[in-house]
Amino acid sequence: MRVLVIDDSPFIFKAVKKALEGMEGVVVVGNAPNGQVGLDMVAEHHPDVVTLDVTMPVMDGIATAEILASRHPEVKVLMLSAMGDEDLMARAKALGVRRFLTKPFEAADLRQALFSVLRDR
Amino acid sequence: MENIDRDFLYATSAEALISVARGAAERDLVPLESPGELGGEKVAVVVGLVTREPGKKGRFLLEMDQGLAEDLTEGMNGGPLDDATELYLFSGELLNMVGGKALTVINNRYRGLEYRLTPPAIFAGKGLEILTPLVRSQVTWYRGARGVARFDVGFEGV
Repeated sequence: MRVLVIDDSPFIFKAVKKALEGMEGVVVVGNAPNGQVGLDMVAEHHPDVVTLDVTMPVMDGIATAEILASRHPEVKVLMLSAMGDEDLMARAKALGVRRFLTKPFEAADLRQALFSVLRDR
Repeated sequence: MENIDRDFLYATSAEALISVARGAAERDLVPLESPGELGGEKVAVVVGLVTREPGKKGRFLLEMDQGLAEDLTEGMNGGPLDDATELYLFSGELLNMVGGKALTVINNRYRGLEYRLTPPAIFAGKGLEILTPLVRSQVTWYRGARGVARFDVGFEGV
């Protein structure tokens, strides 16, 4: 599983890498600090899954999810956000985001969510 | 929309701070009965709260002794940080998560309010004074293993 982290927080990037450390067949291919860079990196690195923050400069997670659904429907999205209210989750779901994890998260929950979203069709 | 209970907003915010400190940093923050005193070197983080409705806004301000900020962010990192930049960025992420946790509960309680967070601004130094007038707020104080924190929560227009 190739994972791209789209998040402006170095803490989250570290936390995701740490959670996936040593897992066979799992590679974190990079970190994009905003959605615009993230879209470029998706085209370059062809991840299977992206973890996507909501609040980011330049291009936020909602806008990024919309473009991903259109340009790269094969890429699965796990939205990671400090906020998890129902309205936000409904907006994300409407854009095809199937899994949502709120921060802070346990490493085991992240791993489970990533494998779960990868299995989604 | 129903009348908003300000005490609920303040209590939810305070609970979020304690919960995130424990969950993300594995550290306990103990509420103080009376105002504490911050030392010389401080780290302070501010996030703004915005909505689509004009006039409804707010902010969270967390001021910490530098030692406490280091302790919390080391807890988040699982060990010593690489440098001062990490201290500041992780402190920003800490308050971002606190704000997110609080606003999730608040937004779910008061549907239609839809508070969102602005990116954090981080300040550090000795003798720092941060003032945020024009917002009704409540201040609570906490003690951690390596210092004191002042949590100033403001909501305006509600």
